[in-house]
Amino acid sequence: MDKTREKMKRMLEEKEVSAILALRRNHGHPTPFLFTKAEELKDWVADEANRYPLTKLLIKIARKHQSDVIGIIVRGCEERSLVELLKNFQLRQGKVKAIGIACSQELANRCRCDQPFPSQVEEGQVAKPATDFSDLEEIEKLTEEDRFQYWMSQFGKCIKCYGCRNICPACFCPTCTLEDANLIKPGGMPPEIPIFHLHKAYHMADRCIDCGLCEEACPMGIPVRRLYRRVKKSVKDLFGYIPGEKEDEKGPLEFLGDGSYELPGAGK
Amino acid sequence: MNYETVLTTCTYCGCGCGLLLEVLDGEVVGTLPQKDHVINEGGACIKGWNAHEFIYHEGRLKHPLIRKDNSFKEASWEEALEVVVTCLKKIKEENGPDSIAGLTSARCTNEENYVFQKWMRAVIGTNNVDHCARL
Amino acid sequence: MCSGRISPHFILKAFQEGADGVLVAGCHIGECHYGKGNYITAKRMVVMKELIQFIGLSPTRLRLEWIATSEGNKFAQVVSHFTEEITQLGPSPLRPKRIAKFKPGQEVVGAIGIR
Repeated sequence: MDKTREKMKRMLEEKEVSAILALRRNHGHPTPFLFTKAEELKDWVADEANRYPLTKLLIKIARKHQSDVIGIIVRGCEERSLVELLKNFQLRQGKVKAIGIACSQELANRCRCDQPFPSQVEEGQVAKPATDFSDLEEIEKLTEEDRFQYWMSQFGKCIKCYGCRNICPACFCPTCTLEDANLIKPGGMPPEIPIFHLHKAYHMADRCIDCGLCEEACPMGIPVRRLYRRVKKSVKDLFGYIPGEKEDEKGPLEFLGDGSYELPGAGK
Repeated sequence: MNYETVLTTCTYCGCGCGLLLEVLDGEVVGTLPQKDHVINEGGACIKGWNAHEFIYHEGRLKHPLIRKDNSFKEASWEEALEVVVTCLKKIKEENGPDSIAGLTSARCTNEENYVFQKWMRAVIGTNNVDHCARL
Repeated sequence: MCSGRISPHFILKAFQEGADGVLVAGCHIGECHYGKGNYITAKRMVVMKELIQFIGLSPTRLRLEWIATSEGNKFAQVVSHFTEEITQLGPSPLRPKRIAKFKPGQEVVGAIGIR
């Protein structure tokens, strides 16, 4: 990762960016940190096991320092989230500079990532995309009743920590459906299932960048990512839309529509 | 421009989840669960996720208050401690030390909590001490 | 009211309250008073169907039909046909009485985490 470190150093020294958001080794733990001086970069790490929603953290920083150009270290998923955030005006065009790093094949396989690399990679081997949908197939081959039983038993574990939403690098709304008392009864444990998780799943349909942070953040081990992956897959199959792929393409389920009148399937 | 995340331990319950407090320009703006912590492994409950909120909360108590005519009035520490001492003394004399109980906070340090229980046992003379985080 | 006003959240809410089926009816494609309201409904419905099918609710419980104001007969037909279909399917598993049957922790498939 020395080449990337050199590049970051150069960017900071030449004032191309005023700071770089990345992970720093802090008391032995990788934690998010905003590098502003070149000499701080010796503590920079590209940790694979501990991913944080850096792009989401960037929103807070960028809102406060609107005139600064901020660099950010991105993996494939983080770059997709960056595109989504720029598309939805949460970050400003030209005020963010992405520095790509590639994921190892091991991480790509573990994440079942279909694009484990950003558009530009400074160094290293780019991992092959994993086209593994066995997690979804495992559920789809169950009968309807078993599927329902499976999901209800999973959702029943929910402790309503909102962790899946809080960590999601594609979620940014100031008012959230999940906190709407008219839709979901406030209080109670577990929350109203399955509606609580389905609301989020529907929202993720044309937004999910498939980073898997939600599942990692779930203290109860609910496989929420499978839900989001499934709806993401439907949107891809039906409309050919992949969230985070192109910056000028709007999601097919945008509230007012993108003006395209093409309907999915055979004239339905 | 200064942003860092500070490793800390959740103050809400006895589990001791690892949290990261996001500090932007000297102000705490958010919480993240620590990914490589042995206890929470990157997860947190709803209280942990909002652990930064009480820091700048407007409802936070900053001065001692004394109840006068059914409303709270700001008071100095001398006045407040005076009231506490006279009231506790009176109660202890009239009803015995076990009519008093002490409840401490998880937002204090271990040492403060130790001192408090010691004070309850040695000065007041009761074992009625509890803690808000004893789940 | 435009069928584009039917947020997927309303449909989910209906299912959560124990509805056996949800019928969404709107103006025909191309006749939208607001331009593109029913196009977005059509798009949403297919995704919704796939989602409820994935969690184990029959997608037949959700139906989208284009019925204009003047098509009283069609409306009657669609409703009776839909009711018949739903009757055959039986009550929704999300009815409060039936939902009590499903207890957390009865796992069919082991969870695969990425950790």
